[in-house]
Amino acid sequence: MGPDEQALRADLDSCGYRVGERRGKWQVVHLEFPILYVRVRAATRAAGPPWFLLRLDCSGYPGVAPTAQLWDGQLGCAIPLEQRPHGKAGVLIAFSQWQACLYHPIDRMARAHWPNQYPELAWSAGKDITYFLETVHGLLNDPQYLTAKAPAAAAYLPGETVAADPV
Amino acid sequence: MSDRPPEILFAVEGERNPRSVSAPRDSTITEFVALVVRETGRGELVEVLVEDEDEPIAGERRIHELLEVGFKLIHVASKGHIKVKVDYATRAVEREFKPSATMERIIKWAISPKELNLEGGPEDFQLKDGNEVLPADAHLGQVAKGHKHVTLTLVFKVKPQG
Repeated sequence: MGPDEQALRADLDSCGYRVGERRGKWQVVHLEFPILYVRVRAATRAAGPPWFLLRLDCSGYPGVAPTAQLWDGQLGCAIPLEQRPHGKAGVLIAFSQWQACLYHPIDRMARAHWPNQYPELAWSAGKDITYFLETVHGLLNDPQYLTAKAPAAAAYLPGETVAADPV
Repeated sequence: MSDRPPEILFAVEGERNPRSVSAPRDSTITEFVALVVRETGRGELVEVLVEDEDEPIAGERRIHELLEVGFKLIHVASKGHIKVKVDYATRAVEREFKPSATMERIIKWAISPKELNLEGGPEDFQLKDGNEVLPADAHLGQVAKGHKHVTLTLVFKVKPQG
């Protein structure tokens, strides 16, 4: 096991990570390093699934930030744009189809888009997987998020039982 | 039911990261505090508070009583309150909270009509310590670095645009 995988596994076992899990904010679904699948709880909306599946590439962790996408676990691909979290003005910026990543400074691929902005939101020494998940959980529980057409089953990998609401 | 002692996740005043310890289900709060003092070497830790509650849990209560309700992070703290000054633009408000107060509770208080009287809900704001954005469910005792006073800055949530 490489040092990046060791570090990730240690952080997934940390108390900080587990407090978030006990609060019902996220749950690890599968880890096949460097790919990690985590279900992240979303705000309850009249039209929207209770959870989204996040697929993270954690290569080089924690020296470099993960990069991630909202994922359809059943189809094995990124959730189509029209099914992603939307607000009044369309898809939320962080989930827009900029590249195959989150369009947010926390994401390894997107960070370069704001080279001198948002240092407090970006990955830096001392940040860990819990910080990344806090960021995504915050985006999915922001008042700007109003609706999403993703089916609830999209948050589950093949072979998992789809719960109506696992919390 | 398993005979293994349950794992208790808890925050400690002055420490950013939560801790865990295994304690027998029938341990009293007093025994739990003694265990934490042994683990941390910090004799000033004397109180256990449930998240966002102001009254310490009575020492004779049993740990299992806390485990049987929905999860709320407990906080092991020294006696007393932490004075919080919240800066917002050119204004500031100040109040004491117990170390178990969450950032969300402090935001709700700070934006309320009697204080800063700001429009919007607590989810529209965030507290910062210097440049660091503090999670809404972080406890005051986790961010005050062991001090009994702290100054935080209230800002609108930063939302990067394309």
